[in-house]
Amino acid sequence: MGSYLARRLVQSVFTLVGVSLVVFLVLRIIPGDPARLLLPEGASPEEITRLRTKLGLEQALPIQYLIFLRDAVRGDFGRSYQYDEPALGIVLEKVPATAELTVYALLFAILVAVPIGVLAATRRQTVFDYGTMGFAFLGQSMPSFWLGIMLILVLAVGLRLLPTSGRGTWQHLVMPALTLASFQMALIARLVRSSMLEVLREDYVRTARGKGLPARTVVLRHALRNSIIPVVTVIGLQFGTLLGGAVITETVFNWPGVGKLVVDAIYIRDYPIVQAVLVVSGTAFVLINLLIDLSYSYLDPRIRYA
Amino acid sequence: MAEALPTPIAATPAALAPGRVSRRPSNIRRLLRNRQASAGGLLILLMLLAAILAPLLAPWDPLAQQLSRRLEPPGSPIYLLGSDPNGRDILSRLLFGARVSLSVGFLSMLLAGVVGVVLGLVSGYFGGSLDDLIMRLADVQLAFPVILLAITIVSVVGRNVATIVLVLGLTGWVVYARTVRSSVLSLRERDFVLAARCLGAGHHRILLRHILPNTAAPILVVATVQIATMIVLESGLSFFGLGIQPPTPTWGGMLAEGRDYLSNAWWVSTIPGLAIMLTVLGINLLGDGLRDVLDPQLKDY
Repeated sequence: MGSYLARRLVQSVFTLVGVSLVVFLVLRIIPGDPARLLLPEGASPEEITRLRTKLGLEQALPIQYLIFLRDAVRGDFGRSYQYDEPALGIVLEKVPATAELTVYALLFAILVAVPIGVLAATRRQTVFDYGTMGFAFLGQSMPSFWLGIMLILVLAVGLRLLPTSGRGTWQHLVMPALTLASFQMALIARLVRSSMLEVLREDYVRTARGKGLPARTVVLRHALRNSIIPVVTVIGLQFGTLLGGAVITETVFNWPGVGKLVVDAIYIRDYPIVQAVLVVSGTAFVLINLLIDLSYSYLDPRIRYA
Repeated sequence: MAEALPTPIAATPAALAPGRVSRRPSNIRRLLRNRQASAGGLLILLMLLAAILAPLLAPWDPLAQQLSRRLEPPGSPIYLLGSDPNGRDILSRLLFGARVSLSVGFLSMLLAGVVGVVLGLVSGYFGGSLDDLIMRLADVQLAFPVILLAITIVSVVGRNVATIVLVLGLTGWVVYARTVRSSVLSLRERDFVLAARCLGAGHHRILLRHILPNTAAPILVVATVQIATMIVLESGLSFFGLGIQPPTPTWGGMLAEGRDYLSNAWWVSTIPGLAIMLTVLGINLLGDGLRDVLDPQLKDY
């Protein structure tokens, strides 16, 4: 376990360095002056010179990267010129709103999808199975921004049940969470079903049935627990998709989170914010996947990291 | 189960020479018999026809504005699917938009596929530190939400078809690389690879002639599903106003244009969204069917 942990930690550090390298390069692939890009459009020549010195733009690219890395580790991504505050602080301020949205969406997706997947697997080739899986297929084929717009059209504009945008009450949360959850919900339901079908064929499930355990116990204690690992893995890998979905969902519903912030920042070329968001979301992704890897041995005691 | 375990002889290329007696129906037949796959294939065929025949099928010029006929609802005698806020025919724009969506989707898939397959082959076959490096690169790629990376790069570099295809293509390689790598890992230990090596075949020849053909099935499955992903991503870019420049009609762009008119003209956003959904649904159905036929072991992602 110890050496596995060490190896995973080293891997995570490498990934984080890679993340910072990509963020660094994205703003330097364009011909022209990154200092100009990182400052508001009407910046004075003095300001540009000052930032050029700070970023070390006269130095070789590798040196520039080291400077970027040093600043990033200190949490210094420059000042947002739109808010005239350190970029990282502004981004972190918006994290709770995005966390609220993604956590509720994921919870909602899991709470709906896991029971559906289990029922579809145990009632294979029934109307329930075909119906829910067909619906899941549709859910996976819908662009989430379109689903969001359709929800607004029906629930807010048509039936006037829910507010179209903003954050505050639980009514504000319903449509964004549903929009963000739809893809994951479909994915998890299909995955739980196929994973359950596989596990239900295993010998220990037959043994459990043979012992005369009630079907409920067999399905929930023996089968579900063992079929959940691939699901957890995919949820971890899908976290990036979830963040991407948050960018879209927050834009559709004017949800004041990191996604809305970064899209607005991209439109007005407030690149310090964009840099900070890319690094923060990349770091969150790496940490979450590390935690998920480490949770496997808890979920399945057979997994021991040698 | 027994038929899934080929005898060693059957696994060698020589035994696959023409003239063998085939007991199993061909893959194409099995695909046609698969209801999901045929439904999906039919949908895609319709979309392709619509795209190819757009100039013949479109009742109006997709760019022609008739400002006196703005926002006509679907079913009007002049505009079958209604008109948009600029008084353009939605049906005609939909047909021409299919060309953009499908070709951007296909080209990005192709680019991602070439990059991903090459990296996956190299990674799985040579292993070692090269493998480590490529897999860490994959981790880095996955750490960024693709849509966020795409809108950032397109906003910096500028929005034209080449940039969009390049950005989408370069963000999509990971799935291929991982899939190909895992099949290469098992293939390289197989007897026919060993035999080829004993006969003096170089790495190049082994990879291209012996290993690559055997990874074709999973690649095909991944590629199919990736077209759908790319179409959705492209429409997402247009939705953020960073897709292909207007007035060229794209499905995502049409959908975004309708957002401001939800309360009085539901069709402007609804119809292009339906087109995207049907296309993606068709591709997903075909991809699922392909997987069942070609490679039952491949899992969902």
